[in-house]
Amino acid sequence: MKNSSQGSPERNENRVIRSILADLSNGSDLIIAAYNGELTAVSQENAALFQALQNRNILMDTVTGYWLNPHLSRLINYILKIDTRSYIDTDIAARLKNISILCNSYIEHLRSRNTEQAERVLSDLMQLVHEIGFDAQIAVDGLSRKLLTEFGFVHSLRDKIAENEAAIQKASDLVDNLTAYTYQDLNQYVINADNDIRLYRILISELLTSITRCQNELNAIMGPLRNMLSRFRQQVRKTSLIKAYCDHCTKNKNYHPGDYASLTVPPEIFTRAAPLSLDGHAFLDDDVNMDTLVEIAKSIKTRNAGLEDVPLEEEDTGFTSPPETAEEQLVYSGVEDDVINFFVYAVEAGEPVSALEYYNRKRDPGDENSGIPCSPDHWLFAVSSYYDNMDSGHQEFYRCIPKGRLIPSYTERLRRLRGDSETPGDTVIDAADGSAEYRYGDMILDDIIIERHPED
Amino acid sequence: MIRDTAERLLRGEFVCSTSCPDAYRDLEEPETRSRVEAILAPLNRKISVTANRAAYYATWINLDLAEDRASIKREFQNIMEQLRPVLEFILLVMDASTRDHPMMPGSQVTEAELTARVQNNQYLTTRAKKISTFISKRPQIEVPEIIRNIIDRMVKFEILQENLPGTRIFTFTGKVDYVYEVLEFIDAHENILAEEEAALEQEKQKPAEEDLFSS
Repeated sequence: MKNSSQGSPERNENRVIRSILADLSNGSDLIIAAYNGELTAVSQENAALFQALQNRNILMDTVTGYWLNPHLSRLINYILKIDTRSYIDTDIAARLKNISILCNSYIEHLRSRNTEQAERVLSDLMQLVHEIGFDAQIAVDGLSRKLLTEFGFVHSLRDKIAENEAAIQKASDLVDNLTAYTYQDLNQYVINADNDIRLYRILISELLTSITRCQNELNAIMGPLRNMLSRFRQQVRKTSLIKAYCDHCTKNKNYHPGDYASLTVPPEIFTRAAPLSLDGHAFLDDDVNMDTLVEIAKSIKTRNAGLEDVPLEEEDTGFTSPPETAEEQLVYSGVEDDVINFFVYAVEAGEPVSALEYYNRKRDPGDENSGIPCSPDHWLFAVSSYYDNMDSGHQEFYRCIPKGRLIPSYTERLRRLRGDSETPGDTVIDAADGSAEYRYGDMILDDIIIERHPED
Repeated sequence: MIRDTAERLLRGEFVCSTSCPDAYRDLEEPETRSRVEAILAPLNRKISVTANRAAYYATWINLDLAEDRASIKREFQNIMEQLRPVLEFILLVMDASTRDHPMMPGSQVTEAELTARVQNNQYLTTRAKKISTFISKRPQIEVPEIIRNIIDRMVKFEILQENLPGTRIFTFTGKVDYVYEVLEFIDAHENILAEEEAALEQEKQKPAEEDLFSS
């Protein structure tokens, strides 16, 4: 933007304009109220503002009330008209006549060497060219804004369609009007003026350039305007269709659309794939699944990672001793002496002794309270646990042979995980050979044989 | 992200810019769409899109298996059952907001606003009750419950999605575009619109004819 005051002391006129604009800005509320005919009184706090505006002849205090200067009202109306773009002036071609008159007049003055008149006509021509360019640009901008807001100033779809159709018509008119300005015609005036460089600058450089720019912008607008119209019409059709379908269903109670899904080749719209159920169980015959399961099993944590690690001594568990100790006490509860006696008996016997046999022998069938005070399962568990927890020095004296059945499904998977090709036995397992790895948790324990180690 | 997009399609969801913007973006992008398509292909599924590209969904590549063919009949039955309540609901929202635009993907509906408008208009109340009978064997009596029930059902149908949980402000999803496409298809084969318009025209002419004869 050019600044006329740049580099020189600001002109007095500019300062006044600036001051007027400041007053307009400060008093905008008062001006709007007056414009709408709603300014009935001026409050104390607005008195100074009102006075400033009154001094500028912007607001008037009359016997019939407060009024806005009619010139300003007209200007506001004009700006509003441009802003809402409800009116677009497309009659730009009509001004070609004026261009023709002015150009011919200029040429005549040039030929008669009437320089002063020629200058005046050229100035008028320049003014006219600016007006044409300005109006064409306003028209294009108006259409462009309508497009951007999707004719937001009207609410109903039918009004939007009417506005859209009108906008397309306006754009077409504008295109026709702009096309009336041809290079040949305008250049002919320049040639007639003996290739006058100033006329060339006005008609070709300025007018034709601005016309071409507007034409390009219009071309860019026309497509979207037509697309929007098509979209609006589709929406109207959609609305009609929805209503028609609902009415049809109401009138024909037993109406059902045709069974299009049963056609030999159903339309794609009705071939929606069924939801794939992603939950289920792993297929264990698939090695990929087995590998995944192994990974999952390895990653299982025994403790909840989210729980705070509370030191045992600070944690109130309700037990008098730590849980591990409590568990140990539970295992040997009341039978610890019996277990020790059993191991002593095994040493003395000099042959393999069945823990279950020993248990049964200690029980007197006639006395319910006699024998080892626990169930056979508990007894076997206590014996195995005692053996497992012996010092390695003591454990060397004994050989422990669990008798039982491996849990088939579990062991089978275990062997597969280990990669054993051998088919597992599902009957009695005897760990006497000592080579087989076993865990008590893997089997249903039937008995335990304890013998003094043969080498000792 | 590709995995999530593929899983959504495999679950039978409609992927649109409202229900899952990221997955929708994946499918709008030719490169990522072809990667998702490659995941679906071994499962006899391909990606289909509604005419206005508002929603993507999975369709069968072929119907060689009897169970796949049976599944499309089930899906067809489902959509036919949803069609009328959804369309009646759309009309209700349009009439309540006094607009003649059909609801499009991205259009919003506020439960409180809709309830207030329906409550204050006997005609709309009757319409809401009618919709309620389509979707519930034991329809509610009070308008707020009716509207809540209808909206909840629309959410279940994937037609609406709540903007933020608890706000009860909803946005129409891309599935509504699929519903319109189904409607267009039915009309193309059964001429419902033309039939109804002809009936309406006939209805308009009827009183004039009667007057003519009576006079």
